[in-house]
Amino acid sequence: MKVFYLLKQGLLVLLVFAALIVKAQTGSISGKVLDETGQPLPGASVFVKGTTRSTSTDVNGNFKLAGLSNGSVTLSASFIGYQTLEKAVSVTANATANFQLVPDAQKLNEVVVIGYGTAEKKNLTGSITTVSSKDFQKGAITTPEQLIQGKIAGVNIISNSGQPGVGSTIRIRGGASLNASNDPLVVIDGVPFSGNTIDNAPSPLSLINPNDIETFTVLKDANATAIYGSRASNGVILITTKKGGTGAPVINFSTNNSIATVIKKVDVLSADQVRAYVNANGSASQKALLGTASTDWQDEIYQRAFTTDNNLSIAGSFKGVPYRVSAGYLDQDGLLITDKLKRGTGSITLSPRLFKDHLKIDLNLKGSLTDSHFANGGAIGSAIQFDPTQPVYAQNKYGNYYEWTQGTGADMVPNPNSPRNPVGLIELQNNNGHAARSVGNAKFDYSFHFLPELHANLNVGYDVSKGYGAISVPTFAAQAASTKGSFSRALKTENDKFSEFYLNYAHTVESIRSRFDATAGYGYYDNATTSFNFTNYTGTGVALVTPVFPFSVERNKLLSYYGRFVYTLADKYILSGTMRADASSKFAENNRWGYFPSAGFTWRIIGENFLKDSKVISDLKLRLSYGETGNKDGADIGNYNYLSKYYANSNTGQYQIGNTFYNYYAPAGYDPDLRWETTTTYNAGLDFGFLKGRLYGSLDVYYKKTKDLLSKITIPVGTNFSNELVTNVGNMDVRGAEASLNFTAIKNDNITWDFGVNAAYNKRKVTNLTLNPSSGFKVDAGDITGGTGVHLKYNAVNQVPGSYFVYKQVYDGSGKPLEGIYADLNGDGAITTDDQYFYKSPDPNFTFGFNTAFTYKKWTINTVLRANLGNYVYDNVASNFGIKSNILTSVGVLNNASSDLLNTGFTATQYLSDYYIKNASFLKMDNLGLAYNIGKLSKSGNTTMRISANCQNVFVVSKYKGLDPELVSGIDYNLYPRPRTYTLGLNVGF
Amino acid sequence: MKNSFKTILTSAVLMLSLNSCKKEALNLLPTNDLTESIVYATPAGYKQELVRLYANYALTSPSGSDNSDVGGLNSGFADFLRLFWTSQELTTDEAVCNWGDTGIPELDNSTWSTDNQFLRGLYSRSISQITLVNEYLRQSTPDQLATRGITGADATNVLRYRAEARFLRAYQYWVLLDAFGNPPFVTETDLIGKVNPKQIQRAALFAYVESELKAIEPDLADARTNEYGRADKGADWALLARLYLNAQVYTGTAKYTEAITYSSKVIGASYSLKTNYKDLFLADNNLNNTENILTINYDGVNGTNYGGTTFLINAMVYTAADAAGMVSTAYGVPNGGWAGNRTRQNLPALFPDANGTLDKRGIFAGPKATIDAIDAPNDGLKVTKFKNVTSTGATPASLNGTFSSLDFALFRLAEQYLIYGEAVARGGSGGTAAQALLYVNALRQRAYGNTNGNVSLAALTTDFYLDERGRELYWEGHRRTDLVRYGKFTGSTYLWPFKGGVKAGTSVPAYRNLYPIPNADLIANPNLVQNTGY
Amino acid sequence: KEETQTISNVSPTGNLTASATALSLVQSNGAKPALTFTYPLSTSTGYVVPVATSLQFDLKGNNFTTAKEFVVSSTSYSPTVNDFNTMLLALGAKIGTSAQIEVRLKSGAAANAITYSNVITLTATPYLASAWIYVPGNYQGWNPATADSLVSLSSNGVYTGIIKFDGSAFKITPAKKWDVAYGDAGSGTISTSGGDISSISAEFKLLTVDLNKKTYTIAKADYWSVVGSATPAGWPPGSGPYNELDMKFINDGKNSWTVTTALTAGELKFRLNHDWAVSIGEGSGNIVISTAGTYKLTLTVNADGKTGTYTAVKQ
Ligand SMILES: [Ca+2]
Ligand SMILES: [Ca+2]
Repeated sequence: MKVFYLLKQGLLVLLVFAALIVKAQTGSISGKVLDETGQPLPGASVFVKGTTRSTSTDVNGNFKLAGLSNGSVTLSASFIGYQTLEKAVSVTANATANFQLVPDAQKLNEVVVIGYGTAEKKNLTGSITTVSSKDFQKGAITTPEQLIQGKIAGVNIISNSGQPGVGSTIRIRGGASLNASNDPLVVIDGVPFSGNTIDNAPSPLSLINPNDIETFTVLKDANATAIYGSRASNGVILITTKKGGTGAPVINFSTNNSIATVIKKVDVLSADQVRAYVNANGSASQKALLGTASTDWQDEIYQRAFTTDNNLSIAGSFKGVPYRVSAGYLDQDGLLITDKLKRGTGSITLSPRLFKDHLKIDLNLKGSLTDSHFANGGAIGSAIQFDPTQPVYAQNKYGNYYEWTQGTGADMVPNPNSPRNPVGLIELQNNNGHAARSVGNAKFDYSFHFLPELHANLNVGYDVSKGYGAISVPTFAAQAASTKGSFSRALKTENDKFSEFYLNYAHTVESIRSRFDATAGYGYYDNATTSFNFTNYTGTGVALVTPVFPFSVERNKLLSYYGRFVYTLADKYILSGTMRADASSKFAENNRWGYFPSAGFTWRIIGENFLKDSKVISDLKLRLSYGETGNKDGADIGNYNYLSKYYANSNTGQYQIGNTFYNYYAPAGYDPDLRWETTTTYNAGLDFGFLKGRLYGSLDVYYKKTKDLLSKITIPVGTNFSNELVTNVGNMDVRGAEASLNFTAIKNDNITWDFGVNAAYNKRKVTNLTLNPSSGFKVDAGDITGGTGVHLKYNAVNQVPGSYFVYKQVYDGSGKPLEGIYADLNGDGAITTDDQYFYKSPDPNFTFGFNTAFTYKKWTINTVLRANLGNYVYDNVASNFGIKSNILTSVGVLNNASSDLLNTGFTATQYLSDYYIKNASFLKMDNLGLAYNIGKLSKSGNTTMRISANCQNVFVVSKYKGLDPELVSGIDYNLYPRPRTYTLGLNVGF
Repeated sequence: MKNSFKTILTSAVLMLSLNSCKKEALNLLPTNDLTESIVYATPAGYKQELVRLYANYALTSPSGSDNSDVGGLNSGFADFLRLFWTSQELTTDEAVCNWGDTGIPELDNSTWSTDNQFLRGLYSRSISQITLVNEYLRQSTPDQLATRGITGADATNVLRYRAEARFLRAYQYWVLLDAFGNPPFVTETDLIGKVNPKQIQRAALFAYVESELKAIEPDLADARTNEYGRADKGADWALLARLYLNAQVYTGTAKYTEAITYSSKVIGASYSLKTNYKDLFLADNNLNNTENILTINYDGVNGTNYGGTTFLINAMVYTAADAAGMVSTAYGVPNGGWAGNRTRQNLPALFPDANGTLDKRGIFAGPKATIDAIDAPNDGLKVTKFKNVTSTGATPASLNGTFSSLDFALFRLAEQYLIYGEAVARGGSGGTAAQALLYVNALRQRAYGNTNGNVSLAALTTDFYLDERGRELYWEGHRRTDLVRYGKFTGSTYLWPFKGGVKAGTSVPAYRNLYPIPNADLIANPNLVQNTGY
Repeated sequence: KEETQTISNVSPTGNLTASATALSLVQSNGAKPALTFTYPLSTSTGYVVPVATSLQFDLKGNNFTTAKEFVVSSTSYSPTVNDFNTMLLALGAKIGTSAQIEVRLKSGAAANAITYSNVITLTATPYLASAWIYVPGNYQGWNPATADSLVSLSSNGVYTGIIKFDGSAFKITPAKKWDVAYGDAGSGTISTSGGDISSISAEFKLLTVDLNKKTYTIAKADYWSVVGSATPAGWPPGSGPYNELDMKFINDGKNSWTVTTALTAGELKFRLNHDWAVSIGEGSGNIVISTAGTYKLTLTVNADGKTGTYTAVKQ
């Protein structure tokens, strides 16, 4: 508890500082704050430097500060989006000072949320990027993270598929872990957001309405994230939602209506091609299986999908209390027939300010309800494989969906070695899910009456959810013929709560040109998930598998102390340090505490005399930081893995002795020494701005080193109840660089033209994986579909995690791969597993984002493009389906094949040929939009209107011939296609 | 206003104090999992945990078919019998598999690498069983029983459970002794942790298994008096007989006399041959069966996995009508049929005909006996002796129409007859050739249904027993051990198609009589030294 | 791929030429070459991989779907007249009837990269060349001179015959002498250096020996015996031991069986596999032997395996 002690001592010192302040009062200053065109700026803040005296301008831009002591003071006027202006004023009985502010494209004075507090952008010491609603991706965005896709250097957001409500994989700087999670921590309005999936619901984040979001702030380096300690190794995303304003209610209504279409289908043979192929190559019995239909199974299972997304919000102030209330309704069809998501969301925020603003209260309450119908995703693979010469429907006992069968009459069963009818798979499975989620918190920030610079901040909140659903298949469906239908249910609830309390003290001592800002706090987090177990039934209501227990609770807690100290000298040199101590219930008592320090130094070079008056350079800042962060979460890291425990068998795992089937308990493998993995990050960054911020950007280089990686490794057999264990072993390095540049090319009364470009380089490498260093050691990190247990990806020393491990294909002179002929890499004259080699990985080396917006009067056209370079994909569709024996099977059926068969002519599967590893570098246009901002509909009224048209997923340029080059796992198999979406939107304000 | 502020502050403080947790609050326990002291609190608990040890032979995991206790291996591959069978049959003249799954072709071709996932799976499965038994023994010491208040008849029962647990461990050590020779060695004195096990040498392991089997004999139930599925003295003797028959291979010193002694003990107990050979391999083989000595029990509803007899049946069954005309329904697996395993032509050649007309043990199907290409699905006959159908033709309940309820005999009387005979033929004392002839002809009369298949005394050469074992025990997990004992598993004195990776068969180096210590464990455990030759 | 591919340039299958296209096949020239094929062997350059080359033969019109393949490793191939004749018969050509046969060269390094040469059409008339080999063994005292034989009616190198073995060993000799003898070389193969071949069990076995492939198979065979009051053992009892008088298979391709035995006046019948399920008598009744003496009984079984004709010749 040393850390807590230190923090306590620090707080005492701060209190002593505060007591030194003395005041005297006589004169006043009044004046006006205007914008660059001479219009008054209401709500601009004006304060006397070196004091706590401040005010804000009224609707006419006027302010008045009374009760000042006579003498010379520096008055500072600031407004969001404008450069701060300072003026020396001599205080008299009625002194005046007027300000005319000029816009600041770089928004250096913008206040940015950071962990447990806020900071002005210009004073940030960590690598932090903020994207606000104005810069979000447009169109039919139904899940929040897609708002910032391509917008931030080093942040990769890949939607997992085209399914409605599906989540995305978010990687900040590539991820620093192997078997632990690589997901960043997401904090919404101060509530740490559970990334757990809820059964029968779309992804967790999609339960938040994107329309309620004001800003995304991404914390990338350890100086920014370390205050989140054990949850911060993979970066932190802070989301703030929109808040109420001042004055009369402003009503905003928006509606977006879109059509989603399939851009590309998996390239398989047509019915005529299959007929020709079978007639040319098949045996008589195989030819006899050919049908006369021409069915495009992919056309049969995909549809044009309509989405409507409607949002209403009211924001204003009631009896001085700012509020915002919003409601949203989304009704989205999926590309796969019957797929549907309906979502209702609501949010309320109240921001009362009491005791002359000494107590600021923020109440946030968000809720969502979803109803989903999930189409059977198995149809995607079946549609690729199913024989196109067969019809969709045929008279039979399987609901008249054509099926491959064996046997006759009553003995007829669906052929177990053939795919099932794709349309039957979908239409004969009813999978409905319902989910409810509520996230809420209350934040109290109290600035002490006797010492306004000392704040006490209490934040308590919760994140609760419930998901439930049922899947039923009728008795006659071929997909459940063995059990004559099926019925299963699921219910899961999550109940997370937390409370945080911190004290913050900030004080400027003009005499030594120093500013001190200290924060110390405490946090407590309790997360529990309850899974309920139900009996599975056959379609006729016979119990199939009964659970042993009605439910189980997975729970973990985290107890934390944290602190931050920032010292600013002369507004130029900033030294900051943070410390967090976390204790997690996931580890044994002696390993429970983890300590995560960070330090940063920032030099605002722009503040130096030689640049102060530069007309060209408007900002220049150097950041250096170091920090340690932890990780303990992920699918492989259970809540109780350090405990020696016995678990009950399931009812399908009983054993018969005599005439009795017994249940029993089994000891599970465990690691009593389990602890955090720790990532050390070094970061150097440069922020710059030119021409009053018309051109600005930043440059970062970083080096991350993770030790005690939580990785699944082979342990000496006989030392535990399992032969593999997730334990702390191994090291990994991540190196990278990021650059972003924003440029306002044209800015005048009629035209604005902005550009944003970002680029990132990232390279991960495993440096150690075993307790006993061994060069040949590798751990399976991904299997392909097809041959059972055929491992494709491995984690191995000196390789990118998840690198492909394959044979080197030999080609003939025309570039055709020679079946089964591989290079004898070790030269021993035989082709064995020793000839496999590491070849490429799914990781891109470079990622790029580009966006631009061109505004002419009321018209705006904007686009977002993204590119990845150096990412490779394994074409599992071709390797599994693009072979002769897939069409001409030995199991009494015909199938379709990937058209790659015509390239290779392979007769049998060659799963581990590097032929299937394809360069999947790509350039995508995510978004192209056109908007017409009508503005006020009439001179006198307040009604405003904006109309927009959008196209998402406009085009993809890639050498990769498969469905989509952008895949998280790097293995292309049965991807739910990402649609191209055309959206028309209308936004009305009152 | 002041008041409301106070209220807020008070509630804030309250909230904090409610939440501000003590260190102990971080000690969370899972909902349904138990600690060992609760699991073993009652006599019933000891019985349950004994069942867990037996269940480990039958299942891939306590959680059913989709999970695996053996990490790194597909759950469908991970049960004991499938791995054991693969190691004992696929590398011999008796079987071949046309799947391309990593590791299968190299077993088919006798060219397995030190990374072979099936061999590693067997090794890991066997040692995991040993680790489980060790835990059971630690939990059932007299001290532990006393502490937990288990006394009297309950304690006596636990004594027997312990003996059975040690039998199950000895069996797995026999598997390791036979297949890997020099495995890591752990007993109940090795606690769970990260201390790397030491390697034991083959001869020492033989001595250990022998001493264990002898030590537990008095505590085991008399032959055929224990519950179905539990080991008794008969199983103990049967394993000793098998161990001694192979002692020459394991230690360099023959122990044929001891093989005769212990096989005679089994034969002298009240076992008898089942009337019809084929009924041994039907789904109701747990009923009225006086031949099986110890079985692994499978059930298509209550204990499911994709290995075991589910594998033996499904991997053999082809669904297409043009491939041997086999329809999976006829084998009791209407939704199964994985079309993989067949036999090489050597096995049917041991029989007078492949149709089971004369010697009814030869149960084969298919259009072509010869293996010209391993991946040609119709090359090689299918072995159809295992069926998930009862002797009355009924198909037992199965969760998915694929899982089998057929039990598998680890030991049965017929093997003991043949051990007795071979040990006599190899010069062991304590038995006679005349007695052996009676045993052999008992098997052959059952096989033929009459005495036409009887052989004469002169026919009982040592070599005869290898062929007769092939005819009687094929696909029951004996072949590799047998071929090694006869010096035919490696070398060139006996060839089969694709032995050594060549269609005609070629010599295989002698070091391959042992399987390699899996590379993964060699890396993980620096105490281990690889078997010579690998 | 951006990297340089590993390329193996496999030369396409070359041009095939034959020394003659109209062949005259005469058995007396059996050991002489029938004709000579010449062709280049395909090779690979760059990354060198083995290339397999073979000659394919099939009857014209089959489009090589049932082709016989001969793997070759030199640039010419000269089958003997015997071999060529044997192959023609194996392909289904009729003895004494002119057949057209197509030949082509096939080569490639991988299953998906096979190329073929030009096709040459040959004309030839196969001759009848039945031949015998011998099976000395324990069942008859290891004497090639008196051993049972196997016949190859088309002289295609595949010999068959049914022999009543004793369960013990035997060997195979091409002539009625020991100078060349084939023995067991494991997994169904034979070689002149092999050991004794096991007949496995004492019963009638259909033995098939393929001298082309040097393989053999042995399987249980149906067999015929003579029973009845005219035979020394009399009619078989309902159960119990009975000394069945087995007949011997004749290698004439007609499925004939014979036995020479002393008969008394009485009745007899032929039956299959020591079982009454299938038997042959005089019509539906027994065959009557009215005079005692030594008879040579010969039974020729029809294709249905259930009926046939017999002769009983007094010696
Ligand atoms: Ca090699
Ligand atoms: Ca059973």
